[in-house]
Amino acid sequence: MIEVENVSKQFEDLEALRDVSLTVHKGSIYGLVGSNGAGKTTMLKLLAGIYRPDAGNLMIDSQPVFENEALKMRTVFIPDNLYFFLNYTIQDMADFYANIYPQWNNQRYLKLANVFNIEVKRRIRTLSKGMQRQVALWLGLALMPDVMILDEPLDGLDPVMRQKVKNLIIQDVAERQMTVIISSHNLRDLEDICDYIGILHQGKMIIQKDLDDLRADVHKIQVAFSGEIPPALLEQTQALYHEQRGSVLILIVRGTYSEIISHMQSFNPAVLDILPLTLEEIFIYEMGDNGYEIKNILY
Amino acid sequence: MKWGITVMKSKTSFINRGILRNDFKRYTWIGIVYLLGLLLTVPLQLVMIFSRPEEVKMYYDASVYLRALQLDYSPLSLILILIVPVLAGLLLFRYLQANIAADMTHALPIKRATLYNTHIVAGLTLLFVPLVITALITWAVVAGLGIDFVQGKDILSWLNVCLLMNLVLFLSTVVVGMFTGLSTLQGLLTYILLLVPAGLSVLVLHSLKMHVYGFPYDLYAAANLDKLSPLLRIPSSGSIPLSTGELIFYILLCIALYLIGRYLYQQRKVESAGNAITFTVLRPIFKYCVTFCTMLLLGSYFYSTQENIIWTYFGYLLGAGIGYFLTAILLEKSIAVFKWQQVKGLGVYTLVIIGLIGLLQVDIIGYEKRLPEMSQVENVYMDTHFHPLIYKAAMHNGTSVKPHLALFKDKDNIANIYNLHQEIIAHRGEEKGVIIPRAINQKRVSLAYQLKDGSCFYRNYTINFAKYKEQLKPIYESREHKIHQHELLRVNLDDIKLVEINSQNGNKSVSISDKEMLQQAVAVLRNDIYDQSYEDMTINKRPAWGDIMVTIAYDKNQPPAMPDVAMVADNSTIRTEKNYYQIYLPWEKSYMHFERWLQSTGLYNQARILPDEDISYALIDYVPDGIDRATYRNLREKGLNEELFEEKPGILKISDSAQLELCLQNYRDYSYSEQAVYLVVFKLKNGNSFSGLFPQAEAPDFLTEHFAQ
Repeated sequence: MIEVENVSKQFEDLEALRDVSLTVHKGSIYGLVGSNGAGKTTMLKLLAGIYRPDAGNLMIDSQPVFENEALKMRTVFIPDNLYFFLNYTIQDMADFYANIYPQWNNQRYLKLANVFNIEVKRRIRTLSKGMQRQVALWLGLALMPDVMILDEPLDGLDPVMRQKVKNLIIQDVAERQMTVIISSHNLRDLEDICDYIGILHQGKMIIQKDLDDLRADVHKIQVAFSGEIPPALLEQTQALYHEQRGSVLILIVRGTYSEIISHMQSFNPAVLDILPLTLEEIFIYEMGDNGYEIKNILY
Repeated sequence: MKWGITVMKSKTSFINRGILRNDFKRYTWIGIVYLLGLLLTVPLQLVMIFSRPEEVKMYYDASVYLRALQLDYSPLSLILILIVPVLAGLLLFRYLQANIAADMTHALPIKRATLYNTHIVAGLTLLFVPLVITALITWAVVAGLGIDFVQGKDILSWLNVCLLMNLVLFLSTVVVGMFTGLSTLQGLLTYILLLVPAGLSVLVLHSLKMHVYGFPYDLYAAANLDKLSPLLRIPSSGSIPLSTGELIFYILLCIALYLIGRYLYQQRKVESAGNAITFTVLRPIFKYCVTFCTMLLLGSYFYSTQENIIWTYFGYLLGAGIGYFLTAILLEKSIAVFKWQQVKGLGVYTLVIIGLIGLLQVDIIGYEKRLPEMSQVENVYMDTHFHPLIYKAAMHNGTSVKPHLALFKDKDNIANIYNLHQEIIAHRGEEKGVIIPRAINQKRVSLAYQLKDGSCFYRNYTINFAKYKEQLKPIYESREHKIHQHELLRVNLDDIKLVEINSQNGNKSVSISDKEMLQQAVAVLRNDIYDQSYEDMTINKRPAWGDIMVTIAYDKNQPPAMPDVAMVADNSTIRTEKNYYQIYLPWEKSYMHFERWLQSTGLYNQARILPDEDISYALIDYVPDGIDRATYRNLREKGLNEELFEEKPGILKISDSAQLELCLQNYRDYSYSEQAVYLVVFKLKNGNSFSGLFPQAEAPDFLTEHFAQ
C-alpha cells in the first residue's frame, strides 16, 4: 500500500507539488492524470525515492521510501525519459539488474522475450523510442516488483503493444497483488485499467476518485417544461453544471439515480432524460469552476 | 510479499558489488589507457636510455636515469598524473550531472553512501592498479637490465608520490562534483580550487604590497607557495621529496575530502544536476569568491603593467564586474542578469571592498609605523633583496652554494640602519606606491631585524637614495657593509690564485699570478674598497677603467658563500680536489691605492687605455637642453650616431693628451639630466669608440670656457 500524506516539493523557485496526499491500496492500480508540468513526474520520483520531499510523508507498506534499500528492492520505477548505459545490450542491462536486485527472475525475463520479441544482443540505445520503452517494461517486470511506478508507460507504443503492456500489468496485479501507480496526460489511456484516478493540476491534487463510485455518483439529465422553467428547480438543485437551450435544461447533478429522478419529477417536467456521461465529463463537472481549465488537460 | 524474505537478509554494505562490477565493465578502459601511458613514460624510458650507445652512456650518471621517475623531468607522466585521476572522477560520477542517469541510479535499491563508496573504490582501483603494475614492471626492468643507478627506494618513492597525488586529485574531483552539477565546470573547478591556495595567497600578498608601505612581499611570495597547492607540488616532488609533515597533511586531506564528499552526496538533491552550483547556500559564496579573485587578478595585472594606482583601481572594478556578472550568468543560466537585485549585490560588495582598502590605507593596525624597540634588536639584515633569507642554499653548477647574508652586528651600524628606517617611516607618505625602482636613484632596501626574543621583523622599501643620503652614507661607508658587498674582502688571501685586469675599452690586459704580487694587489684593492666614499659609490660614480677578475680556489667540501654576481668556473673537465671560481669587480677610478701600486709595478700603462697610446681624439658637443628620457633611452639602446655627431657644426675636437686624460678621468655614463650636458665620444686608434657625457657642474674647465664663447 502506498500512502502519501501532505507532500510538498519545491524546485528552486518552482513549487512542483503542494500538500498532495494520495493512497494506493495493495493490488490496485492508481492513475495519476494531469497536463504537462502538473507535477506527476515529481510525484512519481518522490515515490521512487529519487527526490526527497520538502514536507509530508511518503510511505510504502508503512515505511518511508527515501534511502530505504529494502523497500526499493521491491519497487520498480520506469521513468518517462529512459536511461540505459552507453553501448549496453539488453542482455548487459539484464545482467546489471540481476546483480543489483536479489529477486531478479531470469525465467520470467526469458519468457517475456517472446512477448517483446526484441533480440537481446541489440544495443538498447540503437533501438527506437517505443522499443526502448518495451525493454524498460520487460526488465521491470522481470524484477518481480511489489510496487510498480510507471511514468507515461504507454507513450510511444503502438496500439497492439499498449494492450499487451496493459495486460501484462493487469496480470501481475491480479496474480501477485502488485500495486501500481501510473501516470498519463490522457485520461482515456487509463480509463480501462485504473481503479483510482487522481488529477494533479499545478502541483495540487484537485480530485481523487474511485472510478466505480464516480460513475454511479454523477448524472447528466435533460429536462424540459411546457411552460417556464420553475425557478425553484435551480434554487433547490445543487447542479455541478447547468445549461439552458430554449425550454430544455441540461443539468449535471451528484446523487444516486433514484434520488435524482424523484427530485426532478417533483417539478413535473414535460421531458426527463438521463444521458450517458464520459469519464472526462464527469471530471470536468466535478471540478466545477476549475473544470473549464481541466477540459484542456484531459483531452 | 514473498520477496520480503530476501529483502530482510540484505543489509546496508560499504559497497555494492553489482555497481562495482558495472563500473569496471564500463570504465576499465581508463585503467588500461593509464597503464599503457605509464609504461611508455616510465619503464620504456629507462629501456630507451639504457639502449643508447656505450660512448654516450659513459657520461651518464644516476640523474639521467632517475629523471624517468621524476615528474618535473618527465612531462608526459606528469600530464597523465594530472589528467587521468580527474578524468576518472568525472566519468565515475558523471551520472550525478545528467538528470536521467541520476534518476535511474537513485531509483536503484542502493543507499547514497554505498553508491559513493562503490564509485570511490572503483576509481581508486582503476588508478592504483596501473601505478602498482608500472612500479613492478619498472623494478623488473631495472633488475633485468642491471641499471644500478635506479634503486628500489627510488621506484617506491615514485609510487608513493603518484598514489598519494592520484588520491588527492581523484577525491578533489569527486568533492567538487558534489557541489557542481556540470561536468565541464567540475573539471575546471577542480584544477582551479587546487590552485587557489597558492594563487590567492600570491594575489593577496601582491595587493598588500600595493597598499601597505614596507610590506616584504618577496619574502612571503617566495616562501614555497607551491607547497600550498597540490597541483604545483606534484611536479616539484621529484626534486624536493614530500616531507613527513606534508605526507601526513595529504593523508589527512584525503580523509577529509572523502568525508566531505560523502556528506555532500547525502545532502545533494538529485534534481540539482545541470546547475552550476548544486547547493543554494553555496551560490552567493561562490559568486563573491570568484568576484574577489578576478578583482585581485585584474588589479594585480594592471598594477604590474601600468604601475599606477588609478589603473589598479580600474583593474579592480573591471575584474569585480566581470567576475560578478559571469558567475551570475553561470548561476542563473541566463544572460539576463543585469537586474537591480544583482547590481545591488555588486554595490554592497564594492562598498565592503572600498572599506577594506580604506582600512589598509589608514593603516589601522599601525603596520607601516611600527618599528621594533632599538634595545631589542640583536642584529639587522640589510640588502636590496631578501634572497639569502629565502634561498638557504642554491645549486650552482652542481655545487651547493650558500648565498652571503648581509647581517649587521655592529652597534653603530644597527643604530644607523634604525635611524634610516625611522626616516623612511617618517616620509612614508611620499613614496607609498612606488614598488619597482624605475627612476634613477630609486633603490630597494630590504630589512630584517633579529630581535632578542628570537622573533624577526621584516620590511621592504623602495626609496629615493638622494633623499636619504645623510642616513645612508654612514651605513654604506661602514666596514661591515663593504664586507657584505665585496666577496674580495671575505676570501682568504692564500686562496687567491690569479688576478686579471681587462681594460673597459680597447684590448689591454694584465695578468698577475706571482704570489707576492697577488697579495700586494689584493691588499691595495681592499684598502681602496674600504676607503671608497658613499659619493663615489653613488652620485660620483664614473665608468670603471676596467674589470678585475680574481680567481679563487676553494675546497669542494666547503663551498664559499657567494654574492649574486659570483660565477663558478666551468671545471667540468678537470676534476681535481680543488675547484676554482672567479669574482669580478670593477676597477673604479676612485681606487687610488691600486692605481699607485700599478704605477709602482709598471703595469699601469698595460692595464688601462691611455690618451696617446690608444685614443686618437675626442669629440665634444654642448647640449644646453639636457637629456630627456626619450633621448636617454635612445642613447642607451642605440648609442650615439657618430657620423652625424662628427659632421655637426660647432663640435669640439680634442687630441691634446692632457685634455684627453682630463676627459677620460671625469666623463660619466649616460643619464638623464634637466641641466645642460656635454656629450663626448672617444675615438680609439683601433677604430672603436666609446661615449658618455659631462654634467655641466663636472665638466673640465677648458670645456666650459670653450663653449661659453
